[in-house]
Parts: sequence; structure tokens; C-alpha cells
Amino acid sequence: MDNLILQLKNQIIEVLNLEDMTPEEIDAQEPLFGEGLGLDSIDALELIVLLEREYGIRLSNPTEGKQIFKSVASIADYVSKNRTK
Amino acid sequence: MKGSNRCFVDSMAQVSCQKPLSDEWFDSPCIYEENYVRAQEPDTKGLIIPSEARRMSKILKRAVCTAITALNNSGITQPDAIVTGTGMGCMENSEKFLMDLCRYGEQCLKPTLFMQSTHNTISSLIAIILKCHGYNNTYSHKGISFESSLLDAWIQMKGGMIRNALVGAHDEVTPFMDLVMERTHPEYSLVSEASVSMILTNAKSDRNICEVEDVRLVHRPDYSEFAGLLDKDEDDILMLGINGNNLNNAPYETLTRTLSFNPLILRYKNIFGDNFSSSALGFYAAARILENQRIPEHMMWSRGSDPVNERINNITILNQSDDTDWSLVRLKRI
Repeated sequence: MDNLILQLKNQIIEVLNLEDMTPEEIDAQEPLFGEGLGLDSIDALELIVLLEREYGIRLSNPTEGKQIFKSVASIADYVSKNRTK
Repeated sequence: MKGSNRCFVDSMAQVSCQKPLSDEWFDSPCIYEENYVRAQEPDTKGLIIPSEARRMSKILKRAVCTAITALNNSGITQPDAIVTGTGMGCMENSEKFLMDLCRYGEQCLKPTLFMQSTHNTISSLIAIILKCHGYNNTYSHKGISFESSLLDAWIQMKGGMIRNALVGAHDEVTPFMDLVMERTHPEYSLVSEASVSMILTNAKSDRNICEVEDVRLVHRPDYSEFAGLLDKDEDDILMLGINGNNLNNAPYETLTRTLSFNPLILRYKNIFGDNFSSSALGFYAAARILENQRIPEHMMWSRGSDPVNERINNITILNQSDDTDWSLVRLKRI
């Protein structure tokens, strides 16, 4: 799981252009939206595309997105259980 | 609307292969031996909020930096109009978007690249940042994109529809695009990038740099007819897009041979390079010359044989795109 969390942190930094950040600066339990990293709705779309591209996960139910994208740890948990590649 | 029906340049800012947001090029230009040089990136600190900057591509950062600098240097916070010229729009994002399309198909495309790969992204992003709900338009007409946007603002100002406008021209040249341009535009000798923003106003003030006296676009002109638009007294100094390459220079030489007088000829592409927005840098350079009342030696191409006024009263910028579309912009000393 630790490797997946690190991989996700690196991918988030890359797709969201968080150029000044390092994986160590992102707390896996910290909220991604609102507080914490302060991401917005466009970032959420980028994360949905990331999950589909890299892990073959298509999110069809929008209501589950809020729980999945709560933190890097929650994304990693969902990916580990649902990935197809 | 109140005000004169004249059009003055109130402030300008540029990003190019010369020092950005600066006029060091006037006395100490950067000289390049390469054929392709990218723009020197401006310091965005104080001009763009970091959280907003992370989603912007290079051309967007450059455009916002020049626009905000020009606005800061003028007395205007909310322009009546934002008019932008760009030959190729947001090329870097367009390239990435198309590469993703080839690699991942149509299902997994990044929304930011999709939103920021259109030509009118630049003008609309500036409007969003300024919260400006006024007239907003983008012209994409190859090498005369800048003059098209300038003409739009100029006509609206002359007609009393607007009091002021933020006019800009922005083009980026990616390494891939440079490879394409080597084939499609062999007449370019130094390929580079341009981002120029200026505030035009109908209000005369101490801040004015010069006046935009005339703007004309002519499609496939007859050379002698076009030369007839030029006057010995008003157009004794010409700023041309010559670059030392015969393919590029030929139309300008044909036109100047048709003139009944022998003007002093200036150049700008030797220091700013070529791209679809480079004529905006020719405008920028001419306006600074009128303001400083001094011509840098490195911009001199031909001294002409006719006597030149001691004071630099006018500079006329002639530009052409594929020898098909020509433009004439006459600037006048304040």
C-alpha cells in the first residue's frame, strides 16, 4: 500500500502541476479538497481521468466520488480494490 | 461615450527573446546565433496568484503578465474591451491534447488541456482574472492577427463605442512547431515567440506614449495602389518585417521600389525574431522610438536618401503575411 500511495502522490503532483510540492509534503490522510491541498472541481476531473488512464477504473456513480477523493489514502484504498490494470 | 475620437497608446509590455517586461533591448539587445530561440520567461510574482499559475501554460502566463503590467502602468483597471490577436493560439496545450488523443483515444482526455487549447483562451482568461464583462474578441489571421485586433479596437474607439481597450498579440513556438516552420516558412531567419499587451485610450494625458493615427488592412493589394497610401512627409520612416532572408524580404523590397520617395527603413525581426505575432513587437519598438525620440543603431536597415526631419514625428509599420494580406499602421509622436 505504501508504494501505491507514493505512486499516487507523484501522479497527483504531475497531473495537477503542483510543481513546488514533493510527495513528502502531501499527508496521505489530509483532505484533498477545500482545506489541505485546496483542490477544486477541475482538479477532480483530472483525478477521474488519472484513475481511468493509469488503473482502468471508470467512476460511473458520482456520489461515491466524494468518499473516494477524500484523501490520497482513500484513493489508494479504492484503487487497490478496483484496479483492472 | 465621452472623450476624443483619437487613439493613444497609454502603456505597453512585452515578453520575447529579449529581457521580459523590460526595455533593455533598446540599448543592449540580446544577440542570438541560433535560428530558434524561446522567449525569456517573466517573473510572475506579484502578477499572477500562484494557485492560479499552476494551471496556466507558458503562453497564458506570458499573456497575463504583459496584460497586468500594461494595466498597472496605465490609469485603467477595467478596460472597455479586450481584443487579442494570435496566429496559432495555445500551441503547447494543443500539441499535448492531440498527443493524448493519439495515445489514449477519446475517452481519457485531460480537461485542463481541452479547456486551454483554444485560440480564445488567452482573451477570456484575462477577462476572468480582471472580472471584465466588456467586449472580448480574438482574431486569428496568421501574420496579421495583431493588426486585425488593433483595427477592431481602433475603429470602436474612433466610433465612440469604447473609451479604452486592452489589445494584445501572443504566439508561442514549440520545438515541434519550429520543425514544421522550417518547412512551411523557410523565409524565417530567427524563429522566436512574442507576447505584447498595450492599453489604448481616447484620453490625452502625460502618460501617452504615441498616437495611433491610422490602421489599414489590405487583401492582395496592387503594389502601386498600396504605395499610394504612403506619403513622403508622413511616412518618411518605415518599420518593416525584413529579416535578412531574400524570400521574406522580396515583397517589402518590391513595395519600397514602387514608392516615389526614399524613406528611412527600420527593422525589428533581427532582435525579436519571427512568429505570427512578431509585428506587434515592431509596433512596440516603433512606439518606444517615438517616445524616446531616438533610433537604436541595431534597428537601422537603410538610411534612405531623402532628408529626414530632426524630430521623429511618425513611424509607419508595414507588415505582410504570405504577401497576401498587408497592413499599414501609422504611429504619431505626441
